[in-house]
Amino acid sequence: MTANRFSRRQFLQWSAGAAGMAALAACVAPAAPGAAPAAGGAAQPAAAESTIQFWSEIEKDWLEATLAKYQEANPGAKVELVSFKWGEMMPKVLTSSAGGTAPNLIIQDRFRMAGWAGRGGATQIDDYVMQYDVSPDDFWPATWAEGNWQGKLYSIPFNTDGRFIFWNKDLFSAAGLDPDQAPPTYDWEAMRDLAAQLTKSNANGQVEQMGFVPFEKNGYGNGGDYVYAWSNGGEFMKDDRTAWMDNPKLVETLQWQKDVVEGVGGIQAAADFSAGWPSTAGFSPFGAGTLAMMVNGDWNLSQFNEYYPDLNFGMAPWHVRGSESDVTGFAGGFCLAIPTGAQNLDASYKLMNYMTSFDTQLDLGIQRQSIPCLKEAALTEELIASSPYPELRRIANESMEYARFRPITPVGQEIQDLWTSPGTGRDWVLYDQKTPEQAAADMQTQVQKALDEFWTSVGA
Amino acid sequence: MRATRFRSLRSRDTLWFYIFASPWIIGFVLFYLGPMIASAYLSLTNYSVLMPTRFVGLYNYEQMLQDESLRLAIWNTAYYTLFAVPLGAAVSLAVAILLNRRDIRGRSLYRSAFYIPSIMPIVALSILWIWLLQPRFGLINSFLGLFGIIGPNWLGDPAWSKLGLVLMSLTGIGFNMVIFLAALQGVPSHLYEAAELDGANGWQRFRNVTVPMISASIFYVLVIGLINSFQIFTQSYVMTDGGPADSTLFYVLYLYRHAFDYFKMGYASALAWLLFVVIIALTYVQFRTSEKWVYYGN
Repeated sequence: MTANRFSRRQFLQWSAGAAGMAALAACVAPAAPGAAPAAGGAAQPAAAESTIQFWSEIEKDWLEATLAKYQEANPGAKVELVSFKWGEMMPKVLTSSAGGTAPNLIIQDRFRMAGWAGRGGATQIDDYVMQYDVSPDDFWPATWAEGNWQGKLYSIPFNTDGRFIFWNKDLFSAAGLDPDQAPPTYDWEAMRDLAAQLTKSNANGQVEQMGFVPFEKNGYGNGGDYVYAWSNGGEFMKDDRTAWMDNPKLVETLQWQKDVVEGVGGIQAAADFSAGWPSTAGFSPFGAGTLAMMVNGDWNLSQFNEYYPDLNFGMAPWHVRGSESDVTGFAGGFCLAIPTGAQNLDASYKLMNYMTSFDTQLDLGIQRQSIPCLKEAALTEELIASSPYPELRRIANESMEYARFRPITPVGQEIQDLWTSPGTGRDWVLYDQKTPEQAAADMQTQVQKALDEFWTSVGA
Repeated sequence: MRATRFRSLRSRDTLWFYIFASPWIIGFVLFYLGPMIASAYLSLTNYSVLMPTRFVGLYNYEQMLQDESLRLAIWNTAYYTLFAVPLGAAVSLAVAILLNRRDIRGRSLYRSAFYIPSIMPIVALSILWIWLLQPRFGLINSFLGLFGIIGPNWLGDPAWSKLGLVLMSLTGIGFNMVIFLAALQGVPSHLYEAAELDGANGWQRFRNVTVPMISASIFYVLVIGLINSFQIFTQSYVMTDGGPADSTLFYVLYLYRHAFDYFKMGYASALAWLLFVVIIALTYVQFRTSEKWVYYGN
């Protein structure tokens, strides 16, 4: 499996058995502070002073190898890696922090940082920047921005990923389209028509070949929901205290998503076509040649190479709506952060510095085909050339210069759930339960309420 | 006289009882009762785990009244329970009756086969069932296809998603089947013989001998089934993430999101207490009605 952070999420949820069980236990009686020490937490105080606990939900094998190198190069430094399945780690970070046995360093989903920092879950690390003379300009702007909350720094970017339109050149040729011409993502009406044109159904009315489905659901892609919103000039927040889910630009986006889905046969047809496909895991209808277009992450490049080596496809940035020259992008990915109450900051800083050093970041990019957050490493020719598709890798890595990022707010999770998760807010529109206006208004109510409660809880 | 109390055999037994039960008692007090009491208090606060906690009185409970998604979660959970519990009890009883027949060859093999799925990890089962319920080539719809029925998109259609999970719940009948098997073997054969002499047919024997004699087990299965099914979580967490269109947003999934995704542990605690009260109330109703139909042999 290749590194693919954001999208691997749902797949790994499937195997997050312990998380489910832990959740069940926790649901019956949410634990009081100190009542639920995390796995490994109990062993921590007894460990040598210089041993630091490093928790991660991603990149287990690469981290093991990298940490071995680190310990070899730094005699005396001891790092214990604790790997989790997707979805298991953060509840344990929460309870172990409450119990005073937080790990020293974690790799955390970056867009959630504001939520953690705002609620006292992270250690401020501005003095790390001073101590190690770190320059924010060395990192991609979107990735650095997400580590900040209220003017203070809480995390250092680790790796990132971009979102692009992928198209199947063979299916384009078969439909009489120019296979080397990227789909007209600047023209949403044209995209809607193209999606319908490339969709083919069998005698039973079942879709055999799907043109394009612009929302995140099994096999249809990843992260597009944000890309479309930004492409249309939509923002999710007016300011730190005011949500903007009822932004007319977002309403338009929902309407367009709905229109495209109607054009390919409606939500039931779309759900039927995608049923059973994993969200990630390498296998996808696009790879199998039955989905003509999708918005997805650059990690697909190495997956195509592994699972679908003969796939004839193109990849390009998504355009700003109405502009043939301007493009937009989406930076996801992870960061390095220190949970609240963690001890031995010096050792954590040292490891943090190692993880974000040029050599380590370059190695991450080459070995895992993941975009390093350190610009210089991401743009190194050796990394670009290491890709099975060097030109597309270059597009992906360079896109980080202009990539957007999710709203930095303590209610980022609520926004993400409503806007992109199959099942919640967005489905109201797709399943005709609410008009886009009504859905957006209801999302606004929910997010604003969560936001108000947050600000009340911090006494501001 | 206090000093002499433990000298009596009876009191010494009592002492030993508590000593032997102490691992459970300590575990229960520390890991269940303690957190429960704590959560009762936390449900009156804005507890988010890592921030200073403020007492908010009944705010969380007031919020529950206006929570549209909560109403939906309660509806989904009740709907699931209404189908899953009686169906699960009926199917496990039917299987138990079949596997209680002496004329079935390889009976113990079948019993094992029906029991094994109930001890499989639920996450593994969930992934398996995504494929069983796949609309075009899943086994369920392929089977329906043999009768010319075009099966629904079980997990992808809000109208069918809960029923898909109800079907899946039948994987767990093995545990109840064992309980029913044990109960069936406890029914004295002379009752059947007497009924037969009186000319009772198979259905009448089942209705008037079997059911009353195993009614305590049926009651147990229904009570435990209701308690468990109100806490359905993993299936929707793994298979549907609450979708499509919130149709599998079950109570505990909703609670989990508030506790661990939205940092609203106070609200989640209040939700947990509502669930607790609802389950207690329904169980009480079950117990009260049971007086009318459960036969304990007296």
